[in-house]
Amino acid sequence: MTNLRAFAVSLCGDRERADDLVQETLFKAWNHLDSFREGTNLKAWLFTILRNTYFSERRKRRREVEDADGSYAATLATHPEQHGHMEMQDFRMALTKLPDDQREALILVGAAGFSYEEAAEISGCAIGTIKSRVNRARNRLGEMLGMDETTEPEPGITKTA
Amino acid sequence: MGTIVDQAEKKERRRKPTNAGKTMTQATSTQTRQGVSLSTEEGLSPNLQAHIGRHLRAVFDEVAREPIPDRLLQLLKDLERSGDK
Repeated sequence: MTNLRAFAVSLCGDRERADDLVQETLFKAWNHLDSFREGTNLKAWLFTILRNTYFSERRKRRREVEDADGSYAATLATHPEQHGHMEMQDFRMALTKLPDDQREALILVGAAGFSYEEAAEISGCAIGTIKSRVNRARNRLGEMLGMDETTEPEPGITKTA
Repeated sequence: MGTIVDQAEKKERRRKPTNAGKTMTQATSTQTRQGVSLSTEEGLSPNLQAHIGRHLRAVFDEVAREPIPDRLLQLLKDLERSGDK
């Protein structure tokens, strides 16, 4: 449940909206319990419902409001509970600038503990798609945060050279 | 939706015994697996990937550690109660 909420926050960037999403997810799950099979992955099932709810709402909202991305980035960046050091702030900001599908893939695999296979099932796409989204997300983050191979200390490289 | 999740579970189950059978070469096979997955990640070095991974988990865990808001706990209670009837 705490993971589901953290996933919701990382998708929409706003705790209030995230809690609405979790609430809706729990309602839907409860009402469709018959479509859930005993012994299968409950966590993945709930994550699937949540992301489908989020993306269908977002599609609706997109038609109404054009600047969804701008407002999203702003809410996440200025959340009062989120101080902490600059590096984390920058990282959080960079994360909000990723396209939705890339951020989702990266969070599912890199933070929520799902395999590529499970992430693909949750997002309703092929494993290869998830892998390439995760790769692109990492590369974009690396670029945005100004991490490049020459500035990163790599022990051993100077010795072998 | 249930079927999709079910399929994922089956695949998961199929995969596990395969790994368990490799006990003799466990150390090497782990290294190989990492090596394979890293070489398919184009661009970033393992160091940078690990760096991004740490930040990602920190951001995620920060939210995951927060207490569940009361209204969600209340909803769970209500759902449970309606299920008892």
